[in-house]
Order: sequence, then C-alpha cells, then structure tokens
Amino acid sequence: MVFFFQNLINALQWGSFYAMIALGYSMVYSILMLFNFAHGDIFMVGAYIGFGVATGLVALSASGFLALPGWMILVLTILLSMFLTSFVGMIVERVGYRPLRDAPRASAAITGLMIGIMLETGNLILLGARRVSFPPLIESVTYNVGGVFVTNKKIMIVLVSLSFMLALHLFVQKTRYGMAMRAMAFDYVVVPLLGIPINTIARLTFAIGSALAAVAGILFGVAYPVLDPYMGIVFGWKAFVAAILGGRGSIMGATLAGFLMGFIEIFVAMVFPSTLRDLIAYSIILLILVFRPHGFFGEPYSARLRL
Amino acid sequence: MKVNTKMITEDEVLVIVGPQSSKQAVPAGDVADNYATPMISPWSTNPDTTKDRPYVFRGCFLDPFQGPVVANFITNEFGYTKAAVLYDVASDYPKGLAEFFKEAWEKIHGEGSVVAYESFTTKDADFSSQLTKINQSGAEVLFTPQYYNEVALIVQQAKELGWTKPIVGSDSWGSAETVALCGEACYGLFFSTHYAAAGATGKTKAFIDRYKEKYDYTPDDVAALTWDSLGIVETAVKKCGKITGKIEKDRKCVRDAMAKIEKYAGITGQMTFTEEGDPIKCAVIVKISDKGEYEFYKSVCP
Repeated sequence: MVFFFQNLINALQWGSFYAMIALGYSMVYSILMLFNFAHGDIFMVGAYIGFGVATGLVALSASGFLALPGWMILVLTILLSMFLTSFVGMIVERVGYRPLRDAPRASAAITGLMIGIMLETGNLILLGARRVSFPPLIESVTYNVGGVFVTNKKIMIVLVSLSFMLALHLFVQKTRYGMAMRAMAFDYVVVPLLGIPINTIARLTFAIGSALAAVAGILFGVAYPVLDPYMGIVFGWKAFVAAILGGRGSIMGATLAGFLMGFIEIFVAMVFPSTLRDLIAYSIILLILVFRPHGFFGEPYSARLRL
Repeated sequence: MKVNTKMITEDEVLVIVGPQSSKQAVPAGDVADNYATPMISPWSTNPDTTKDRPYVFRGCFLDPFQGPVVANFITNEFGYTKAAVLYDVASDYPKGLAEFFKEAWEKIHGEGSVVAYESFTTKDADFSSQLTKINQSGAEVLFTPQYYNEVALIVQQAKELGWTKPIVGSDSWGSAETVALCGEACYGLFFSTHYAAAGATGKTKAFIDRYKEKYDYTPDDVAALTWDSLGIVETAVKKCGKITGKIEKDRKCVRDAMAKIEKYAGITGQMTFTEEGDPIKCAVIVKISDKGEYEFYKSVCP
C-alpha cells in the first residue's frame, strides 16, 4: 500500500508536466487547427529563461542589493519568465505561422518542426553544449508520511500547476477574450467576419500557451535541475500524445490526459520491468485511442471543437 | 591512420605511444599491427583496440573490468549482500557495465542477489518509479554507471524518496561536472576510476607535484596513463638492450619485451599484460569528500 501511494505521488508530479504542456498544444489547435510542433522547444526555452532569471535574481540577492528569500525569487522567476516566454511564443506565431495561415496544413506543421530545430540549435550556439544546473531556490524538505516520502517541492509543483490550469479554465470561460477564443475555436472562418480580430486572438493563444510552458519549464527545473537544449523534444512528443488523447482542443481533456499519461508511465514501471515502460505505456494509450479515436472530449466533426 | 602509416613507413619509428581515444586508437592499432610496429594506447577502453593484435597494447583497464571491481569493493567494504542497479538501457557504456556488475555480484552472492535491475532511456529525467521499486526491493546499495548529468538527477531523487544507503558509480562519474550539478547530495559517495589526484601518495604524488609545477594544473587520468605508458615503453626498450638499427628486428624485440613485462609499478597501479595486450591492474576507488573533491580512497584489484 505504501508502495502504491508512493507511486501515486510520483505520478501526480510527473503528470502535471504533461498536462501543462498538452494545454499549449490543445489551445493552439482549437484556434488555428494546427499543432504547434515547436511547443516542446518553447518549454525548453521557458526553462532556460527561467534559469537565466533565477540565476540573475540569486546573484542580485547574494550581492545584498536586494535580499530576497528563495520562495520570493521563485515567484518572481515564474512571473518574469512567463512574461518573457510569451513573447517567444508571439514571435513564433508572427514569423512562423501567420504567413502560412492559408498554406496547406502540412507546410504549417513542418514550420513548427523547423522552428523547434532553430530554437534548439540557437540555444546550443548561445550557451554551448554544457548542461546547466537550475539553481536550488527552495531548500528541499522530505516528509515521511507513514513510509511514503513527499518533498515540499513535489507538493508545490502539483499545487502550482493545478492553480495555473484552473486560472486558464476561468480565463477561457469567464472573460471576453476567453469567449472570443471559444468562438474562434467553433468556427475560425465565420467568426472573424463578425469583427473578432483573428490575429489578436491567435497571438494571445500563443502567448498563453508559451507562458504555461514557461511555468512547466521552471517547475521542471526545480524538480529535475539539469537542463539541456534537447530536453523538450521527446517530452514535447509525449505531451502532444496527451493533447490528442484528451480530445483535440479540449482544456479539460488535455489536463486529464496529461495526468493519465503520467500515471500510466509510472504505474507501468511499477508493475513491469522498467525497460519495457514506454513500450507498454504507449501500447495502452494506442489501445485507448482505438476505442476512442477522438480522445476523451473530442468530437467527431472537426468544425465543432470546444475549448 | 595516415599519420600512423607515415610514422611507421617513412619516419621509421620504433614504437608508438597513442592515440588516446578509442575512435582513433582502433584504426591506428590496425595499421600498427599490420606493419608489426609496437603501439600502446594509454586511454582507449574499447576492447577492439588490442583484440587479435599482438603488437598493440593499452595502459588502462577495459570497461568490463570495473564491474567485478565495484562488486568486490562493496562486498569487502560494507559487507552487503543485496544490490540494486539503475542504468540507461539505450547507451552502450552504462548498459555493458550494468551487465558486468550484475554478473560479478551474482557470482559472489548467488543468483538473485541483484534484487532490483532497473533501467531508463537516454534523456529521461524522472526516475521516481524505478527508485521507488529499488527502495522497495530491500537493496542495501545502488550501483549506477551513468554520466554526470544523470548521476545528479538520480542521486537527488533517490534522497528525496528516502534512500539513505550508499550509491556507487564508475569512471563515468569522474568529471568535475558531477559535483557541480549534483552538489552536496553526492558528497560521501564512491566510484571506481583509473587514478585520483587528491590524496595520492608516493610516486603518484611526486608525479602530480612535478606536473603541477610545469603546467600549473592538476593532471587528469589521461596524463597519468600516458606517463605510465611511456614508462612501460622505456622499460621495454631498456630490456632489449642494444638497438641494432634493423628496424624490423628492433620492433619485434620491443614488442616481446613489453608483452613480458611483469608487475610494472606505474603511478596508476601495478601492471602486467595479458595475451591480448591489456594490462591486469588495480582500479582506484574514489570518495567524493565533504568539500566535493575526488579523494583517493583505496585501490581495488581484480
């Protein structure tokens, strides 16, 4: 039982990363009907921006100019990096996607792949092949709850990511911009004719998705403090699987599917030899898709997508 | 390769020391052997460098050797009987070493004494399910022959999951980056390697001091192994006695003398060559000190 709960905690943390990245894929898809394949690399860029901001703040704090406690640095790092990474997302949209909005879908899809490679190699040129270590902003405290080990970092990661997901949900459901996004998701040919500026909404969608990826990147740095320029590739693919599994364009679906994938991966490794983890985990997901080809919350007609 | 051919056929060298990395040493060894010229690569750990090449030697031990070394060390040092292994199944070096360790450990402690044999794939960052399993298995020690970036993640996550027992590694830990990324979580852990600068004594210390004086930095394992390789060549040439000037004959003589060297006392340990030209020598166990330095702990022989 202890074994089970330990894995449950592990899976919650792991799943929250998938969920946050999957949201970015899903939102862009629902608005523009394309998958932003650079999203995994935007996650990487977010982590590196977070690394830069955190390192800067730590140095500033150490110099005595602005003495901040670790958690305060973390909060500032998250907010600043969200802001900065959202610009990366907006630039990617402006340069990579807007000129190709009416091009064949395949062209738009490879744009994402190309931008992803550009971001990876750009980072490699800028910072070199050395891996960087994310500064330990909060002291890791381990609690032993009846044999189950939980750290303060794990609790923080799950809570912070859940609150961002909730905030996104409220934004989409309760605000005017959210309503515009939902309308656009419903029909992106007719809705612009009604006076909703498609460019603004597309830019906003990319900005929000990228800001979430930045949060995921920083939390990732807190949990797994070794960053490298290729960290977003496989991770991005897997989150993309979660986005599809959740039902294209569904926020709720992407969140649930992200957590589900975390659970499947962790629990498969718990039961089977870990060498077979991904093989078995992704066979299970394939099987789910065979029975639910549109994912959990997806609908058969692509024109009727919901946020 | 071209350089090697040129050295052998035009410059008529008697013996070659180098190249260092297996990528160059494997083809260079082929050329040297074809021309019956003795060659010793100080640092190449790939078995192919010397395999079926009577004229080619090396100054370091091979990858498979570290498996039994670490297994022996843990058994003698801690007296543990149950071990866990965590390795990258998609990378040659860790996978090979994990297998050699398992084999050696089970030879000492019997079938099933490796109670958890867990793997992951390159680029994985979360090892929580594997480590939870290892925790659960009742293992007393964890062996993980990984590179520095993974070592940092594995060690930190293991601690966060309540693992308080020793974690032991191999020479792939021996980069300064290991401690830079891992921090205090890695202090007090052990790994096996070729040589350790900190805490060295006797001849080794004398070499380090002289090297530092001349180049102003601490010699790494490549420098130490190259020094030993030069020493071996020197011994062999001296043993041959007079150089006749007939290059083929002299080369053969040096080769035979090298193959016959017994218990050469180098700064990286005592060496005797096998028939393949690989030295039988001791490995060094390094302890990561409380200051994050790699300290010589003890020498372990096969």
